[in-house]
Amino acid sequence: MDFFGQQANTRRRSRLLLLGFLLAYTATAAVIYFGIALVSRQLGLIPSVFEPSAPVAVVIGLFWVAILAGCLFRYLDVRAGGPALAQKFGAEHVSDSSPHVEDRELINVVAEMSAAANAPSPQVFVLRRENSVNAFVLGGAQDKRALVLTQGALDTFERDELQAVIAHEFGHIAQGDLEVNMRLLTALGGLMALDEMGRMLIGSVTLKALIRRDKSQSLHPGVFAGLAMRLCGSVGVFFGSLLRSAFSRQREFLADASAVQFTRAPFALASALTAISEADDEVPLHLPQAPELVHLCFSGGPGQGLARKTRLWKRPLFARWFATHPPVPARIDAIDPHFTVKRRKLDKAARAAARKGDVGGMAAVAAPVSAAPALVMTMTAAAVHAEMSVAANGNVYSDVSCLAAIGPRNPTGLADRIMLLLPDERSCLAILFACFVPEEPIPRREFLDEVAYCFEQSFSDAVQELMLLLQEELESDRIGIVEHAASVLKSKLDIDKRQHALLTLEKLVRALGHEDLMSYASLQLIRRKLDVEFPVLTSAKLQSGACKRAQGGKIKGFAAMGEEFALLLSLIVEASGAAAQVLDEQYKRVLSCYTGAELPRRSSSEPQIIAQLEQAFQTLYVQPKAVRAAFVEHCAEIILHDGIVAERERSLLSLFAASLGCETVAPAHLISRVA
Amino acid sequence: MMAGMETGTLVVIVGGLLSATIVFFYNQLVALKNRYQNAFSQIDVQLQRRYELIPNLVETARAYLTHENETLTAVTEARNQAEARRQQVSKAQTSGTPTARATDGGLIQSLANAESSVAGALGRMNMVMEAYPDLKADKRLSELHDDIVSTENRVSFSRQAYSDAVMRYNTACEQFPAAIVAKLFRFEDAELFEAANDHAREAVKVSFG
Repeated sequence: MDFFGQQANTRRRSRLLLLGFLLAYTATAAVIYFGIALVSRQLGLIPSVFEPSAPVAVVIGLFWVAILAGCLFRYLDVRAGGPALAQKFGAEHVSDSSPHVEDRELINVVAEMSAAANAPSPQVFVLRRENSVNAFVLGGAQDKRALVLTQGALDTFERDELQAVIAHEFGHIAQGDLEVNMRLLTALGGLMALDEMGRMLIGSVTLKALIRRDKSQSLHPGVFAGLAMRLCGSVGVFFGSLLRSAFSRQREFLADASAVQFTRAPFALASALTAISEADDEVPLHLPQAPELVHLCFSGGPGQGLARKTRLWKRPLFARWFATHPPVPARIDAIDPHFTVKRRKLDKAARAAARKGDVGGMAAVAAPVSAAPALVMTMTAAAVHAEMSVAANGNVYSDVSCLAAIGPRNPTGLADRIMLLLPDERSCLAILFACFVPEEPIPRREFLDEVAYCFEQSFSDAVQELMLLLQEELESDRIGIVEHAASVLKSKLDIDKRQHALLTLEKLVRALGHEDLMSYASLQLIRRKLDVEFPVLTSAKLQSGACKRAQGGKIKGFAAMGEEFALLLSLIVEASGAAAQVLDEQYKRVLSCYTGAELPRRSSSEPQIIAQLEQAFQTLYVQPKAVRAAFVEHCAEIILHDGIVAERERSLLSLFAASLGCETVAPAHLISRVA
Repeated sequence: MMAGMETGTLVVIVGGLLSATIVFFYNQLVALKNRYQNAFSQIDVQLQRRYELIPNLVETARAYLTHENETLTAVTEARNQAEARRQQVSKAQTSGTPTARATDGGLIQSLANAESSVAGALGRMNMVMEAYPDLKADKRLSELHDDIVSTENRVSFSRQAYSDAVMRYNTACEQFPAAIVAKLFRFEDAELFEAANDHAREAVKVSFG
């Protein structure tokens, strides 16, 4: 790395940025002024564009207040430093003393790369509830840097790929991109604030219009206001994107080059890049602040902001101007032009090895289980025994798509009746609400009234109608229906509308106090299926979870997660619906297989049980995937024990699997029993 | 008179340019030199970390490897020697004169040699450990093992960073205008961190489980 060259370069870029920044703000100011003045003149409010009256000036002033507020807030964030900013985004700090194997590995990799880059280690953060694959660095001064990874990245990348991605981030640090990027973040905060506000307004209004089946949604004053804000904001977004892209693209190539210099492993970086293009996330980050952060990220996502929205931007010229990152194939090509060939060669070798293994017998089948040494080591002797029975079944850990086992994911498994009754987005939305309608008449009335209040009467009627029509199906295959509806919504609605739909649903369910275990389960599933995460909303919980973990000492393996496991176990056992005494017996028997400790059986009717379950999931979620998969696996074993799989049991297992991020890990033999 | 003035101005201009050039290259060389010395101190940090971890590993493994005293002693001895060399080198680093403080040839070579014999002894110990299945199940040992593997990586990455820095410095010292400045102010070529005998490096890979 040519240090001097880079420093001079950084200074030059900073000056350029300042210039671009000034130009962008001047242009935005001009467009806002003339836009509002022209409209006012057309409406006859002012005689000429150059003689604004007091009310017009106030309107213009309000726009500026919004822009400057966005700018100021972002500036304060940036000044607080990388770690504070990372925490604001809902990321959890990860340190050397973390009890989790994955975290320690991450810290080790970061330390290795800091040795390779000869730069001090930044603090490391993980966005636990973010499932898209990405990473970025924040902060300027040496002791105020934060490296943020998404949980999706941790789950996706192999160690060498993780090394390459982190080396890329160190490349940004070594190039001195951080300072410029943080200033850019401040600038974009202001330029994009208006658009962001308009987007939120329109999102909520158009969702309501969709529910009303109201084709003339543009007549709503909220849409007018939102559109006006977005129109003015779009000028800012336009210049902001141009600014961002101009500073970002070339740096990505350079950071890739540095990553290769640090790791000497072009193949690992190329395969990490392939992994992000294969992950195919809809958005690079689910954070609300995502548009301002893209230029910092490892992956720009497939659509890359503006380019995603309209066809115009897909034209080569515009795409080139507005992309924050060079296209993945170009990046791979720059790193290693023969990557595809090498990869195919490796795949071929792996396939050949697998074929040999088949001839050899059980060795290959047992391999996935032994791939989790941490798990085997941390489990108690009894659990190891259970593990052996799993190994005997063979393909349990293979990533067969097994959700079909827990609840049919593909619509073919659903009755034709449901398919007929759920033809469009509106009815899919309605069925999601219908799932939460209480049984008793009075709360039911309240719920439907609330729905009518939030949207409108006809939607509330539709919800009631659907609920009555599908009562039977809802009882027998609630999870299946929820999944179907959510996946239809995911494909048909954009993320803003989905966010609003979920928020309204959550608010309704919580406000009316109907949150029992089943509705909690369904909400969790919907949230996951809609691919909407609210890291900011959950960050408070995450932090309290982290504190608790820190106070409670180290949590390792099954033995130390007794309480969490006992809770899930109680709920699973209870779901079979037997008499209390039978339940007690069953619970004790199963528990004694896993831990020697005496833990009382919990009941789903306890107060605060949902909060505790949430807490348990937070603790479990950060365990290595192998441990989480084992949890799901053991729950499935317990359910299968009596040979009957009740709907409640199936829903709970679905919830556990989804909440632990192991939907693909479930026993294949459940399929036959369910069917 | 005019000619004299012009010559004087010319001399001043040329002299100014010359000294500016010298200052520029001198500063560049000093910066590059600090950079590679800093890279070396990073190796030192990682080596120290590694030498601190080894006794722990040996003590933990001793409980299982009662009949393999010889192997364990070999690791400990190699480690002690390397640690002594490391301390020697870091003392020489801090006490040298500003320009001659460059990593002293012989010392670095001997540290690199000692380091590669540590790696060799560790490799043999790992091979021995393969034969003891209980050992693999020891949780503390597996944690230590992860630490050692990562430290191993850090050592090699910082060696790589050091090599890059040395290469840049050496190239700068040898290129034309800077070469004169380097000669003038006695900037010496820096030495790479490499063992003299390559066979010991073969066994660096530490793995079990």
